[in-house]
Amino acid sequence: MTTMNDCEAFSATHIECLKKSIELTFSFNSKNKLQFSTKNNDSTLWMNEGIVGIISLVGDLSWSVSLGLPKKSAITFAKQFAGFDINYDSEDMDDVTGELINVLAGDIIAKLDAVGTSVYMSLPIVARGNKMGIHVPDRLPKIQLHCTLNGKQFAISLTSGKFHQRRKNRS
Amino acid sequence: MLKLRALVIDDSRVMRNMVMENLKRTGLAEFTFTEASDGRDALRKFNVKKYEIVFVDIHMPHMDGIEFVKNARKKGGTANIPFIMITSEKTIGKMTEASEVGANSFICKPFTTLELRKKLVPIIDRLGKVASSGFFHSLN
Repeated sequence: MTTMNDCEAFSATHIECLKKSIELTFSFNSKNKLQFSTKNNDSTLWMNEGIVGIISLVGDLSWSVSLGLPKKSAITFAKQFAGFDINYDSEDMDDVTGELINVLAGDIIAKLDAVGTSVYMSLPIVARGNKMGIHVPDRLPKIQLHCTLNGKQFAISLTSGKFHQRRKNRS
Repeated sequence: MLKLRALVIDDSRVMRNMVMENLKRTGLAEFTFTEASDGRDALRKFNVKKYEIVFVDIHMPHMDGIEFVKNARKKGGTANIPFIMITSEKTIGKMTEASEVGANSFICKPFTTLELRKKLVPIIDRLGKVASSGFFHSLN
């Protein structure tokens, strides 16, 4: 089950594009189906030791896509993607995380393009550490998807650059 | 087996390794590789050494893959050199742009050895015919 926060800011087509792109990127070389799950209404996505990839999409819309990979998941998905083992503490792990978010964003762009939405993507940024949080301002529309494949979890956060309008008449 | 000098261009070292490993696994040719980390680095290498085939990412810093192909094609004698874009950017617009500057084929990331092989069979086949015509010999 997919749980979203502020999902009204994203069309059903956008959400479907995102989920299909996640499946293509992470189910690559895996026979098992990816599961979307978990509820998270916080504006910060927390993670213990792990690695984060971030990419921006700009054009007809303004989005930021973040990938949060806990350490064990990073090792698993890096090997699945590259076809060979990659040491977690190596620069290659940063490299492959950048590539994963790059492939994900590239596929989102292609799917958006097919429905008439034109966007370009930035180069990826990768960060790593302990007790990390991907934080977006409270008022920004966002979707947080927690995903599981072969027992390994990761999170995707999609944030729109458009602020929600504050209601003028608050009771 | 056909011997091919391949230029592999990607800002990701992991991707370059993936491309090279998968190319070896296709068994289509005996490849020797030169790596470049962006279009600018690739152009320097392309201008001083002869290559029979080029694999290039689109999304790179300093000089992207499309700009590289555009500049590389300005060099004489490149008509028989296939430029294969290996990319995560698979919009029609991007592919059209790359084709217009001289890219011959596209391989979308992520890819398997089998997908790479299928894409390369006609290209390598054509290169084999070019090689037997003596074109590569004339490059040396």
